Amino acid sequence: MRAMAEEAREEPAPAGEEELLPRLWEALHEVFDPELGYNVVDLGLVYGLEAEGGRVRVVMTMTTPGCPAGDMIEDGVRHRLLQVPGVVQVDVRVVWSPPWTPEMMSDDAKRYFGFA
Amino acid sequence: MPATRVSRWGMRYFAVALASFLLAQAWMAAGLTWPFRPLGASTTLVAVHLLTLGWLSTLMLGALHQFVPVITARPLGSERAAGWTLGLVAGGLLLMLAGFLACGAGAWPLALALPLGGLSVTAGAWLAAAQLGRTLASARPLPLPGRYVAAGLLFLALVPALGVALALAVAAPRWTGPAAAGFLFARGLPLHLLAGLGGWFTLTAMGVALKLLAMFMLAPEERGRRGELAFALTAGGLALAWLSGWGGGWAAAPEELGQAAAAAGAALYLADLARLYGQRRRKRLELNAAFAAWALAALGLEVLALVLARLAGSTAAWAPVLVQLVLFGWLSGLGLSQMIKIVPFLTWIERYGPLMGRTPVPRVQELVDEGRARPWFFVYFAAAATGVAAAAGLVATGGAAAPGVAGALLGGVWRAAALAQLLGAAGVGRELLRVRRMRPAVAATAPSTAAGRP
Repeated sequence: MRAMAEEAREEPAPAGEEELLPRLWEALHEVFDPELGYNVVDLGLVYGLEAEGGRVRVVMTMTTPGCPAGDMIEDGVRHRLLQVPGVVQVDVRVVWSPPWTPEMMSDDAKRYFGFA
Repeated sequence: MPATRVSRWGMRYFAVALASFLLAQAWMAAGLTWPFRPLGASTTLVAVHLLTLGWLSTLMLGALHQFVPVITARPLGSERAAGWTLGLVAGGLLLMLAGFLACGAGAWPLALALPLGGLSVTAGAWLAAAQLGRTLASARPLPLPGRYVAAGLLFLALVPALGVALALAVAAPRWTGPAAAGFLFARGLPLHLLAGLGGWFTLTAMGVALKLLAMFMLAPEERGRRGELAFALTAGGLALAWLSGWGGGWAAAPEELGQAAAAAGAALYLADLARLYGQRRRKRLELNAAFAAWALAALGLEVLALVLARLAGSTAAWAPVLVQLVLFGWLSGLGLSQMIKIVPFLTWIERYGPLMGRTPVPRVQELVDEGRARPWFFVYFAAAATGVAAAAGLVATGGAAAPGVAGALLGGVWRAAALAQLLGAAGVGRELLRVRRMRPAVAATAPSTAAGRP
């Protein structure tokens, strides 16, 4: 399992957790799996998202363990979340259990791929 | 789990491979060879090795340096070894081509370039087999695609070594002696073909196709007992046929058993791949999956034709047609169809991956124009089918042995098909070049749009 990655920003957190979480989810919609061409949230790759005092923790997976774009997706999540005002630190943890399946996609994504 | 990274040598492998493929087809279209010229003819050997070493082996080695890490979820041991492999194989191929032409021209001292080139290719192949095999071994128990690739790598270790022995028999018959040379040509040459086309190429292609199609079509990679049986029969059958092929008369029964098992295994594999297409969650087929189905159909036709030719006792007469079908329909068809997916994907990783999350980036699909590439695939596959049909017509009418009017006509169709096939492959190559040169305008694109939220 990949070690937890951390990056920090100097800005203070201007927003409360209630305001921050929706913006974090919205930001994650802008990170996508390059091959499937769909965002990581609707693909069901994000297993957990928590924010506390500007510190964000993401638990996510990839579509396949050997995905060559895995590092880039993970970095993409980290960098996109760090752009959200109020975020000072992002921890991304990639897990392989439970393994991802297409059934974890949102209904929108399932419709997009044609199996809703 | 350690991160897997793509090899920076991948695109160079693919460039060498595609250039060899185009050159080989230009050679055929120019009339420098055709399937009924004796296999020992120097111009035929040039085309055959451009196709098998320059195109298929380089393509597969380049692909394996990318996909063994994907299959095993482990990084390769050495990037430098990937570069050495390419240099040894490509350099060895050039020496071999010079050696073949020197043999044809009777320039015997220069013909020694042939075994020297073979040694270089062998060193490259063994280096690749060691590096890729070590990565696979570290990931045991291997998933099914990994087992196909591992079996293919075992045959890869055999093919060039046997090729060097054959090259010595051609270039320096005094060294090998007439008895050994006769044995090598009688037994070794068919087994060189079996190990190359069946073991190295087909087993590897079966494993890579299984992994890639399952991954790209969102279908289950776990194939159950049917998938396991298909692998055991195909790989075990090929190994049995190859080993007993050396034995001659006493080993005819196990050799036939091995051939039958391999044919049954390939048929089972194809049935399972048909099921995999049915199980896919991504309903709209992308170009690579759509045309991979054509290549798989060619493999099915190959198995059927092999069985029928064997039952009719005319395998030798039909061998040129069977080799053409497996080379251009199954192996080249699959290779070309997967390149249209792999090249944009690797280009994305190289160019846009590091920008993800920092700035809007395109999707892989935006790097390739499938509508423009599709007609070239139609041209390629239609031409390959026409070429195989013309070759079959030449065998059926006896035109290959004694060309009459029908033979001349069918020979002309074969040449025209070779030219069309070259155009189709060149068209696909041009689309791949566009992918490499494309700079989609994404700076003005809103991230949410680039993120593929339709």
